[in-house]
Amino acid sequence: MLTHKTRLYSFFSFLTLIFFFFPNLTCAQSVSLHTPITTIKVPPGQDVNYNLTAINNSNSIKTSNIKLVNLPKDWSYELKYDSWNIEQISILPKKQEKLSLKIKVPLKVDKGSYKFKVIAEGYSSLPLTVIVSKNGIYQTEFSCIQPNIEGASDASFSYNATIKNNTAEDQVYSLKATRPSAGWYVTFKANGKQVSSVGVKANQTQNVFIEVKPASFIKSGTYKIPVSIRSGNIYEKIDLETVITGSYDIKITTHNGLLSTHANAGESKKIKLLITNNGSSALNKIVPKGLTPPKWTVDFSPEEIPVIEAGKSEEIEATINVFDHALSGDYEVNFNVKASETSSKQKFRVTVHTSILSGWFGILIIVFAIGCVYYLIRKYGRR
Amino acid sequence: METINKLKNPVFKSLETLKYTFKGVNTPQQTHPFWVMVQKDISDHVRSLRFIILIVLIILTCFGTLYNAMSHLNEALHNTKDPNNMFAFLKLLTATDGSLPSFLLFMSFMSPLLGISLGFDAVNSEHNSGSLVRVISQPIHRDYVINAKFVSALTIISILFFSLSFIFIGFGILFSGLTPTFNEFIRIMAFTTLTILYVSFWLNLSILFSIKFKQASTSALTCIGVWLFFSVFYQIIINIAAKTFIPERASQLDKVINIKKFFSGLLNIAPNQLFTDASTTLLMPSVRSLGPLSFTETLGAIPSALTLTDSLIIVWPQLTGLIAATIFCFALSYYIFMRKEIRP
Repeated sequence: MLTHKTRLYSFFSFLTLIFFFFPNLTCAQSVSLHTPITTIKVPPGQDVNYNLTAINNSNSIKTSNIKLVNLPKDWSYELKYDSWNIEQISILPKKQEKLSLKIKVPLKVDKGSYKFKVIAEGYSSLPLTVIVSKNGIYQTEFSCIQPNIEGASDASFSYNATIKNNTAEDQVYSLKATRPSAGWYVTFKANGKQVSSVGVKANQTQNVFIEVKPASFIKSGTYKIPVSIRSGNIYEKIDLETVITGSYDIKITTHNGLLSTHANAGESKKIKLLITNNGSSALNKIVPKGLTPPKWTVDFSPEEIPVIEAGKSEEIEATINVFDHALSGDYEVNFNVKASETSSKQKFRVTVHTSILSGWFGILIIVFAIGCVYYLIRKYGRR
Repeated sequence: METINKLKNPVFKSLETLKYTFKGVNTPQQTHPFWVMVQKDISDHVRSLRFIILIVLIILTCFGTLYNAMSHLNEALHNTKDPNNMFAFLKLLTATDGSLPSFLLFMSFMSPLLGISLGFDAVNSEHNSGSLVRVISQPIHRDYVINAKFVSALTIISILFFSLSFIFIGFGILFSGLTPTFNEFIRIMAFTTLTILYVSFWLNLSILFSIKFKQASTSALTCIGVWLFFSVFYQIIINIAAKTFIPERASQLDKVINIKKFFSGLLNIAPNQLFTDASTTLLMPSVRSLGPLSFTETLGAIPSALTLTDSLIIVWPQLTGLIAATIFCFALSYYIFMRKEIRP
């Protein structure tokens, strides 16, 4: 029992002794740290600035190292007095010094609260909490504001996409588009040049124009074109949508493709023309028209075709009336064919021959002259 | 009847001769007096100094222009803007670099001189020397004299120009390695015939003057005067006249065209104009019309080479004019000669 009491006594006396010899411990708050903001909520990648005040409560000059402990990995900090990076401060008795602390929250950080401490070594510590409001992104954003474009199949579709490099490093992204079928052409353009990969610096954005060109035979409908970018293990994808409304294409030609004919001056020449709908939609109100040299005319029968279905053709007969005084040689006649949706033009060459009729007149003159000579010989020559 | 024909008709006679030649049998009769006269005239011409000088001149021109055309043939053939660039052999006759006129131009200048030189003293020199009376006193028709003069000169001209053309074609084949197409060959032959026709016009004109004027020098000067008038002054006179008639302001385009057509018609009376037009059309297949053209005729026309038939149809009026003028001159000289007093 006595021993027990003795032990208790000796323990207390030991404590007293310690307190006596180490007044620092007893007066633990002789240098204390203070900041008004102890818990702060920030998004990832944000810098947090703390105003710290170090206070010396004692009656003697106190010197202490200032450190941060438990700071999460990848986070960094800057501790400054005025504009100096510092590690240790010394404070006059009953005075205080202002310090500034900057915490850099990295981009790649999970949502949650992070606790760390600022300590004045040997004196006191200041616990601080940073709550990261959302999951940090350590990745690339690939987006397109208007991913849906509509047009005819002979049009070209230009999409404006943006690559945002949110990683800490420069990246080179390879660009790739998956075509819906053969007959589609997709090209990428960056900085005015056609590219297949594009480099983006850390934290920068880059505009990429994606030009989609379908072949004219592509049927109307909605087509999805997945476009992806890849750099290392970063992979992003957007779906572009192309809505094709159908194309209009009309051609005028002949059965065998021969685009020339021969005609005599003043003659009417009949030729058979073939009007073909090469588009993917029907054409209405097709009117052929001839663009001829002056004083020539072209008549068509029929003069108008009400409708030609896609891929079908119609035959018409054109009568070219050659001008009486046309010169011999080649003339150009243009056939225009105009539907309510589209039109096309075809050059046609007409080789004109002049009639031999005038030649007979010349022969007549010569025959008359020879006749005169014959008469002279008859009359005077053989006497 | 046949025997009379044989005696009287020189053509029939020559056919007979040909028949015998083909059979390999000597002709039983003597050569017809007409052909004797033709042969004598030909030999007279060929041996005369002035003919030799002219021939040398023409051959020099021919080779000069041939050399000039050869050295620029490549250039001319590669000029794709020219629709005639496919006609290598026609280019030989027309191509030039400007330092020397083309063969075509030389011919239009030289051939009248040849015609004049062959005919200007045809009748009057014989008349003056008294040989004409001696010939006429032979038992032959009187018109044989003038016919023989014409036929002999024509024979010389034909042989000369056809050989020149063949020399051109031959050198063309030798240097270019090409062979002329049938089209080109016919065009060159047509051009040669045209040249012969043109020369024969001047020949007939000079024969006419040689009958008309007693002095050979007068007839030669008159011929050269006519030639100079048509080749130099006629154009100037027509141009001056045209300038006064064509209004300054081109307000009435149709009217202007009509006046221009009228004056170009006047120009076409000149034989050298006829020859130039016709030969240009024959040797440049892209020429589609001669004379001024209205806007309605040219609009929509594409430059291209014409077919041979079309070219011939275009030059037919010119050919008719030349043939008619030649025959007219011949008829006139024939008429005058037959009614001429030939005793000295």
